[in-house]
Amino acid sequence: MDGILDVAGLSKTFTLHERGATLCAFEDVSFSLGAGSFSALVAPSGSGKSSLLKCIYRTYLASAGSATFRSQHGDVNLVSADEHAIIELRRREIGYVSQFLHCLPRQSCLDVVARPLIALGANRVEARARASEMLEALGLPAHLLELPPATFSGGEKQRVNLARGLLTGPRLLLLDEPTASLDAQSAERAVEQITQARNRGAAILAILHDSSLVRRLADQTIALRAPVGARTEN
Amino acid sequence: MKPILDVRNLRKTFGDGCEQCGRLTGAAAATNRCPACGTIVAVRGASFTLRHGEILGVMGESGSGKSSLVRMLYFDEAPVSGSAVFDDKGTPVEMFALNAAQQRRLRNTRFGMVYQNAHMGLNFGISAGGNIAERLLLNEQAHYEKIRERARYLLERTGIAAARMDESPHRFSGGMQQRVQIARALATDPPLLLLDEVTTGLDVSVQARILDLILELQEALGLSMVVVTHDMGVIRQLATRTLVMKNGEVVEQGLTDQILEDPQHAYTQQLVSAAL
Ligand SMILES: Nc1ncnc2c1ncn2[C@@H]1O[C@H](COP(=O)(O)OP(=O)(O)OP(=O)(O)O)[C@@H](O)[C@H]1O
Ligand SMILES: [Mg+2]
Ligand SMILES: [Zn+2]
Repeated sequence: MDGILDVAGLSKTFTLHERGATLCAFEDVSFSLGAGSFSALVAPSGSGKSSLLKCIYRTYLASAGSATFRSQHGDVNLVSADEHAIIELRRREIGYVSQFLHCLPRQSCLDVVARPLIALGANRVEARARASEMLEALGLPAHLLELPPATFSGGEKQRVNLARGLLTGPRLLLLDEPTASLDAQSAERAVEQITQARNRGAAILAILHDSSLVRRLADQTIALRAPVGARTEN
Repeated sequence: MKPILDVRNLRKTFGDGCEQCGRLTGAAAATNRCPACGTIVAVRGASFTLRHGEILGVMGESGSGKSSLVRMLYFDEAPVSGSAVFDDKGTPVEMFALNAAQQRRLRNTRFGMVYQNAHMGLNFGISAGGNIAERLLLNEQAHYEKIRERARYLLERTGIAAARMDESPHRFSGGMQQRVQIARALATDPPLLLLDEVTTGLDVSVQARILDLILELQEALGLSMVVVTHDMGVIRQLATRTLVMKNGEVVEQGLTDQILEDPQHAYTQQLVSAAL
């Protein structure tokens, strides 16, 4: 199995200046992800699962350790890489789907999903066609395609999010509760698309609340220790 | 890839300065005014790069030096020290080593500026179209019909009916005045746009449409931009990277989502939590 991501000794402690406190989200986490594999992060609530994904995506700055990504242009430590390198990797190789949809307001759902493809040079018509296919595969009602997602339901937003994350075919896919707001049938469609991404060689690191899904999908589970909790200094 | 702009240690002070200015001003000192000599250290030594096609956000509270920073880059103000290298179609140009005529050329043809206050960016004594023509004339384009054609095109492009090109900006709403400023800034197809609080003071719906226009232009024309604002919503929507200033000092810079979700500096944490 080709390695795609090696995480070693990764830790995250927040320093909350105003409160004069530090807060440890997770500590000393190590694991590897192979190409075409599905790994599930399992841990009790509050033990830093989302923070871990965010440290890998660099929305959070890790406090210690490394996350070595085998990019198409060589190894990159995501913890310390130059911001422009991270921007490029996000565009081409690393996808992140959070529980919340962050997108530009006032853009149609189709444009939101097609945008990353267009940014990579696809023409607009083709990108929108592919976006539409993906959204359809995820079961988003067709009459929503031209509307801005701002007013969508939680489950609808989640599908928009997932479609956007999957469409550019990233080699590493970070999924934070990708099916949490979906009904059983929509969740099944999402699982189908995620499985296809894995079969195409993507390494998938997911947080799933549904333990039966974990058993069904995961090649490996990664456990985080129980929350270390808040520690107050000075 | 070479950045379009590489700014190193740019510094701006108002006053003669003394030995103590460095120690007694800045974020940690919580003031930009030196108590020993009264000098204002508006920008303490700012460094950053801007990539081609990138939007960099600059945020911070009132008086933190955001405007001073972009005003230096537009040659509105001269820095006391520091450098800025502009990549002019592949040729690196040390901006502050240029003579006045060369600076004027860059300013008129390679940079565009949009001010918060339309009175700074527009000549209210002439028509909207005239404001665009003025910039083209500075650029030695003298063919009358061509200039009018270009002005008409730019106004339409920025959402102003060409039929109104002969009206004075006085008669326009705040949002329209900002559009005219943007049209004027774009007149000579500059690769770099500096935007200082362009949506401040406008109605929320008007703000939204101006932001849409800025993004649309950025995508269509591949512009690089420095966007100054104290509005985190603007930062979130426009900027891929963000610089945070306080008391003339850049206290933090990083990916915009990181700055907003995991701010490191006490001041940034305070700004972000105040906006929640
Ligand atoms: N011409 C000047 N003479 C003296 N002091 C000045 C001058 N221009 C600016 N300053 C001072 O420099 C500091 C930085 O001002 P600047 O306009 O750059 O702030 P800003 O961050 O843009 O603030 P705002 O958000 O209010 O626009 C302020 O303390 C200001 O009073
Ligand atoms: Mg200002
Ligand atoms: Zn002094």
